[in-house]
Amino acid sequence: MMGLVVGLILLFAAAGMGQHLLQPKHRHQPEAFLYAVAAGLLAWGLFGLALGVVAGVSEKLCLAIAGLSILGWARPTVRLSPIWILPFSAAAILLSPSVWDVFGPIVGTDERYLHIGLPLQFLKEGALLGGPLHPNGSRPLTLQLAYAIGLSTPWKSAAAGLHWWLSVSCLALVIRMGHDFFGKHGVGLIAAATLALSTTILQEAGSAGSDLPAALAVLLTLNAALRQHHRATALCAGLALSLKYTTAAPLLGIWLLMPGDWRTRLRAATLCLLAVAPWWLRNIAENLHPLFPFAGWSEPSMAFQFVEKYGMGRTAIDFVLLPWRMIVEANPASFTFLGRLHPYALLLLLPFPLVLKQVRFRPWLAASVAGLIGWAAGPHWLRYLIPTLPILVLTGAAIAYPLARSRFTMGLLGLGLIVGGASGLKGYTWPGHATRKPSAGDQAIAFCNRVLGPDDRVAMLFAWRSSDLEAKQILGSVEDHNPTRHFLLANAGREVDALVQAGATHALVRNTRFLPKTYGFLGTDQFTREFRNPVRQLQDNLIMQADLLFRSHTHSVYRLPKPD
Amino acid sequence: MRSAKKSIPLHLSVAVLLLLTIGLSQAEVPPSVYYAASNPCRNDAYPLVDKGTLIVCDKTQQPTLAFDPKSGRIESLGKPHRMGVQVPLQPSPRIGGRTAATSQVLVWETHGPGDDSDLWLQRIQAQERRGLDVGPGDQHHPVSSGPWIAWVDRGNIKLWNTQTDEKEIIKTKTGFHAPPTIHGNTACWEFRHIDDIDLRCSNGYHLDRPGHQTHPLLLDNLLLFRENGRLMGIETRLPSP
Repeated sequence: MMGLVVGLILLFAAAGMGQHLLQPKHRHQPEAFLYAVAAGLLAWGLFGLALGVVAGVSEKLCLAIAGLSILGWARPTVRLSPIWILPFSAAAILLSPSVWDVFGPIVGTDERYLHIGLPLQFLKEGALLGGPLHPNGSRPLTLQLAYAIGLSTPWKSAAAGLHWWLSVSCLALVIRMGHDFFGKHGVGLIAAATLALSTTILQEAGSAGSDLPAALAVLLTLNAALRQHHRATALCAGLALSLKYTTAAPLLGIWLLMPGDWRTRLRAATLCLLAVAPWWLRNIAENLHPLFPFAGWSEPSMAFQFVEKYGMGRTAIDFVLLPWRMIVEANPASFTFLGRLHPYALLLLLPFPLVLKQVRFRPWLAASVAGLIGWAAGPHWLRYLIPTLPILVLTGAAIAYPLARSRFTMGLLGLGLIVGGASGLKGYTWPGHATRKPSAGDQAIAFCNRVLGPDDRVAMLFAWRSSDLEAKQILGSVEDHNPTRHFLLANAGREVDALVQAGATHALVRNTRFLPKTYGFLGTDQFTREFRNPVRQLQDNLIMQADLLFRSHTHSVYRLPKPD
Repeated sequence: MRSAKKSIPLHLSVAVLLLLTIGLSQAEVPPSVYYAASNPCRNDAYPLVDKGTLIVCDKTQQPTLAFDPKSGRIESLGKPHRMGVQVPLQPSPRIGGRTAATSQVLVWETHGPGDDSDLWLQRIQAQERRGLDVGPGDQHHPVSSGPWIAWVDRGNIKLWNTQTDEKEIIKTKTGFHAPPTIHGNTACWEFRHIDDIDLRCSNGYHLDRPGHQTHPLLLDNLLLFRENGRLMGIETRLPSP
């Protein structure tokens, strides 16, 4: 319970700092509180970056940032408007099933290696990490620094608690915007319910992630752009980009068709990019590509992502069928789309052509379509669509709602929502359920936590579970175990020596077998060179130079030789 | 431990014979005989010898088959083999650690300081429980054969006859990967050669082949080992334990 309470306090703390960054004339708008939250999170990220470079990262510093932020309420500049009571209550009720996950164990892959795993490493090492040994740390770390503040409190679930409140804020904003822009609470409620009755959304809400906060930031950007709150537009867009680069697609749609002249747009774009630029400058200062690791691995060069692995194909006909398949063929237990959405997410797309000529819908349509195209161009996992999804369903609901004029059609719409909800939540399980099955590597992690001390440092090779491991770490995973594969390819033939040189005392190795059928789009030579060889050469090097301390059918733990 | 044995299906026999043929075709050291009678196992502890029976894995990588290398006969166990009997031990066994037993004693690995491992001993018919080998460095990989217990102490192999209290030490450098194997007081172990892992035995036998030969297992006169994920074997001449 305390995780949720502390999460709410952190939400207010972010707003405490952020409210002072808003334009005075916008501070009394009803949505000013959420602008303040967004500005506060952005400020925490940039402040944390500066502090991290100068003084490192520690629990005390994190708590000091939170404390100073709360002091922002000593001279409040934004009002908490009572018009938010209904939207926040409804959103909290809709997302209430996921509250359980906030208190549950950390089980999400991204949560383990990135959102919780990385801030925990910052706190252990006392520094911001990055570069080839910690490539996940060379992304914009706005959200991870906010989670680091949560993890610095005695209640570690505060990070997931903060995320849950950001998710609730996103749905509350959906409800509010339905009323403000389309004149009906029903529009927002249908859209919010469509989201909440989707496995993909509900499973994300209770764990510390980036998709729903990014969705909130994109929606806030649209809200601010439509109201011509220019600084808020730029700050919210900057936040969205620093949370997730894939928000660029819906942001581009908003930017192209937002009200205002080109000068206003260019000013907003400049401020937005300035808000993200410090992260790029940090990478450049460390001799890395500004977008490392997404586009800038050093030699040997390496693709960050093989989008062909995701979804059901990438031919023209596959793209035509994609909206249908993403609803009908999706299954949370399958890696094809890895999730499930309420069927309204598809059905609400159908009336889009009806409003093509209506000027007021253009920014909504542009953001939706750009977001959909951006998603289709990338990997087809449904959670990657989350940043666009609130705008998409809100647009669809706004078009469909007035069509349901009679009680019968309204009843039909409501019935569809409920029946579709049963379909959207099919297969939903609480990921953080306490009675969960043991997962791969439990024993290896327990072994490491039992035998390793504060002077040890573990090389995580093909292994994801950073947050579960108490020792300091290097490498780890993202996508196709890129950090590990890149390190091994760059040090082929001297893998163990290179690990020792990098400071590792032990290696936690997931017994990996890359399957050719998963990478059928690669040539045999490339597959062998980039996937099979690193695994085989690592095994050869470890058996010749390291001591095997533990082995299960999924993981091995090695003691590496002492440095010369 | 084992359920009622069932007759082996025809396709399984054909698969085994095929694997055997592949293994034989790879034989490079006449008059040795090599077997390839097991699919790779999901659990790295398998294939293993339990009470004189070689347990190997089926095509689902589960240890459900008993293989007699002499006759080439395979029998289904009916269900996956389970190792040993879990008994509460103090100090707690090392996570993922090994246990070895004779009729006299039970020996198990425990956590030493840091990442070191130690060995503890419990006499089965008495209350005596004590550290068997708890010095600095790793004391680990206990194995047994008849009254003999062997383990690795900082790379050397120690043997102890738990009936006669006879003790031996084999100076070598092993214990970095899989445990040694013993047949009576004859031991075989993994050895780091210049560019791969080979096998050495205390009776002077050396197995040097290209690639890694690991996980030695003595079964009567047969030295079993793994090579490229396959179980293979070679006849040796060992005295009776």
